[in-house]
Amino acid sequence: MASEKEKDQYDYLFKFIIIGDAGAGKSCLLHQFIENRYKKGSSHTIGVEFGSKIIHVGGRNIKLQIWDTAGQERYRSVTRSYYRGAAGALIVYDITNRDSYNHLVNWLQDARTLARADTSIITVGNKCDMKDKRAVTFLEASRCAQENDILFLETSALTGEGVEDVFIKVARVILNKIEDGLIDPNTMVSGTHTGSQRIGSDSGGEAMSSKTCSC
Amino acid sequence: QTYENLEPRTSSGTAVAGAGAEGASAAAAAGAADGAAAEEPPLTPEEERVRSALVRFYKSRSTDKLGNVDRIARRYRGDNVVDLWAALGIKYSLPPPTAVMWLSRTLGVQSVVQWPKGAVPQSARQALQRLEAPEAPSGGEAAAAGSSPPTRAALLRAALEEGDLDAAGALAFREGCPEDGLRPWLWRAFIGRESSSSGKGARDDEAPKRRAAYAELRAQAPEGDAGRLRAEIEADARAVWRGEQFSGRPEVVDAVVALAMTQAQQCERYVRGTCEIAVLLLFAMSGGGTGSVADAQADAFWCLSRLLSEVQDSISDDSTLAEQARRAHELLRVYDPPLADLLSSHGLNALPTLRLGAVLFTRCGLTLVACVRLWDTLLADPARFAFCDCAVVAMLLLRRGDLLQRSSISGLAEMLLEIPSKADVGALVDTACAICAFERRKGLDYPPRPLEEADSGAYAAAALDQAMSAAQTRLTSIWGKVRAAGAEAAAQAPAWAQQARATAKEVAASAAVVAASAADQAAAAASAGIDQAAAAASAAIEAYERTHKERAPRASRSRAPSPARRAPRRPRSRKGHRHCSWRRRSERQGGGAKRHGGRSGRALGCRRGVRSSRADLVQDACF
Repeated sequence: MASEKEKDQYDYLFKFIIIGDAGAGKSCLLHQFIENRYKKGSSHTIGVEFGSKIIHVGGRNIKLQIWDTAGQERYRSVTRSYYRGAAGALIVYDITNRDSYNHLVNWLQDARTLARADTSIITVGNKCDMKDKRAVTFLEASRCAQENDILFLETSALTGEGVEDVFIKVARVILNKIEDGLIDPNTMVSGTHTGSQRIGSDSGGEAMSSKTCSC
Repeated sequence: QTYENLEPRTSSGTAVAGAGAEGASAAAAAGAADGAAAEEPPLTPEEERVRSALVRFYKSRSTDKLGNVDRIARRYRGDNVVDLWAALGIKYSLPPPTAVMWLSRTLGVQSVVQWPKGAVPQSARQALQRLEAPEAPSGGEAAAAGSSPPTRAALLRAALEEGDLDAAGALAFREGCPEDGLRPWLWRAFIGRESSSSGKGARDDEAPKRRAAYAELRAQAPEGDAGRLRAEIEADARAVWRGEQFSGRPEVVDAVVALAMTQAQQCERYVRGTCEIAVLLLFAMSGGGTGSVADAQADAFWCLSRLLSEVQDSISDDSTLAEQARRAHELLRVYDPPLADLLSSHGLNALPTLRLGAVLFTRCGLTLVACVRLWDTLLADPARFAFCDCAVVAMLLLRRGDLLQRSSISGLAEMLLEIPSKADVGALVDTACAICAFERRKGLDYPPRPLEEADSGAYAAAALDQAMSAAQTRLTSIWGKVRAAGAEAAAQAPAWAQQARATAKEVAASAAVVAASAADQAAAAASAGIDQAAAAASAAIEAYERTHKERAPRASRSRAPSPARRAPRRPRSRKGHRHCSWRRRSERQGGGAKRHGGRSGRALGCRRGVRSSRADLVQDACF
């Protein structure tokens, strides 16, 4: 039991948020990351979904608390409240759906105004396994990300390609910011917390489970 | 006061039974003075449980009711214990979680909560009564053996033999299936309830037939993209029920894949959650994992196909899931408003249903054993899976203290998701049964129901109003009736006022129209009358003048009185008729006519008289 607890302890806790148009594959991305399998027949998310997982980055155990928001417009008022305090944001678009890419700017603006100015943001082009239906080129999306000073990766929630890399990449950027002193992990608003603080103050839930998604 | 801060229970009924000894001495001391109590028969175990709980409850409230606990326990035994805690909840303003906790610990074997009061089937009631009644002796050694009541398993088996699913449901709902070996038959009977006309479900002696039918279906050649479907199902079969030893067995994985593939080919689609349910059914049909999985496959498929045809919408359809989430949150709002508000404030209304109750609790993190026990109750419920809402709310109530203390939204979500993995399934079922009892007992005024879209302040006001209304409804005094009538009138007053305003407007509008019409008619009549009167007056004047001209010479000769003189006189002042008074004076003085220069006083007076008559005529015509 003690070893179990040690395994579940972590050094830092980061809050992530996944946003993007409905049908882009946000929930499947989260499910693939947490459960390592594709979520077949995924329905529209009602409100928000939640998952957490501990990853190992830069010699540190980092616990990610990930909020998967509904992309549908009718849940927008609910999901906006989840931006606050997010250390990382994943803006997901569907590479086979041009509209979802066109709306990227709006999502980026939301993330920058509702989260924090220094929130680490990554653009995720999902469904990269469907190359024959591609509507957004890699180069175009990459340039857009560069212009907006954000990260970019393409993934496939179906095959799992690039999914873990997305989360690790953002976590590494945040970790670098902490080590450079740009983010104070002891403040609640930064979206990051030190593990010892969490374990000591909020025993139970946060420190006990390494995978809590079955969405 | 949080739910778990109250005295924790150890297992079903033992906490109260243990506390009974503690309260017994107090109650005995209090009840010893009551001589009548000694004449009463001893309390049954169920009554004793209620009495013990009452002693503890009254001691915590510092009331003087301890002397009445035996009488109260006898009165509120069986189903009536629900009424007892509803009444105490109202009287002592108990928060609903507290009342649910007390009720969950005092529900006895004879408490039938899944049916509304008065609608309990006779066979169900009799089956429960036989649990406590000694069997009739049949002579000799059997008589000695038959002095103890039959076991629940024996009664359950007898009910299944007779195809009496009401009795079987009553025996299995609260306590679950007593034997793993009996569960396959019990589940087949409940799952096949809708399709089996005899009510006997799929009997054991029909097993070869079921196996042959399943083998035939499996032998059918797969169609379409079966390879991809198989890969997907195999991935699911390995991923579900992670951590369970049973689901990791290779023969179980193979059986699950076969079941899901056959089911998908039959339905022409793979329903999400099939593998989770298939593992659970295999576990139950193989006697808790102890029997042959291969033999259990046909039964598991028989149950899976019937079950999915009934519930596939509720586990995969978006709108149905959203409706379930809304319903469960409304139920939580009734039983724990602070927790419901906390979840609402974080936008987590739907999370409990979508995660805890996902795929009929097969994904929430319960162990296989715990989930099978919960399914005993779900399947035995005559309302058929309506119990799921109660179970979701019960899970939240069991950890409400921890949940309410969470400061961060992520901490709240994590705590919520780990509830099933740490839940005592006995306490979970008891708590869910208590909620079910309050919900399905018609006419209870407890717990208070909040208004739609009400905030906490409005909720308190609504609860108070409901309590007041309930209390007053029970009063038979005239004031109660008057208030009820007043309340009704007050409720209808706005409608009445609106109606009155509308009527007044209509009346005023019609009156104005009538008045305008009448005024028009009057004006027209007046105008016509004036014209007629003017014409008549002119005619009269002309006639008079003609007459006057004709008579004037004769009057001067014969001094006959003029027509004006013969007309009725009006009172006139002397001053206004100086010429007349002058004439009378001159007549008295004699020969005064000459002083008028040849014109007689009569002539002067008549001219003045003509003008008066003309004016009178016009005036009379106008009015």
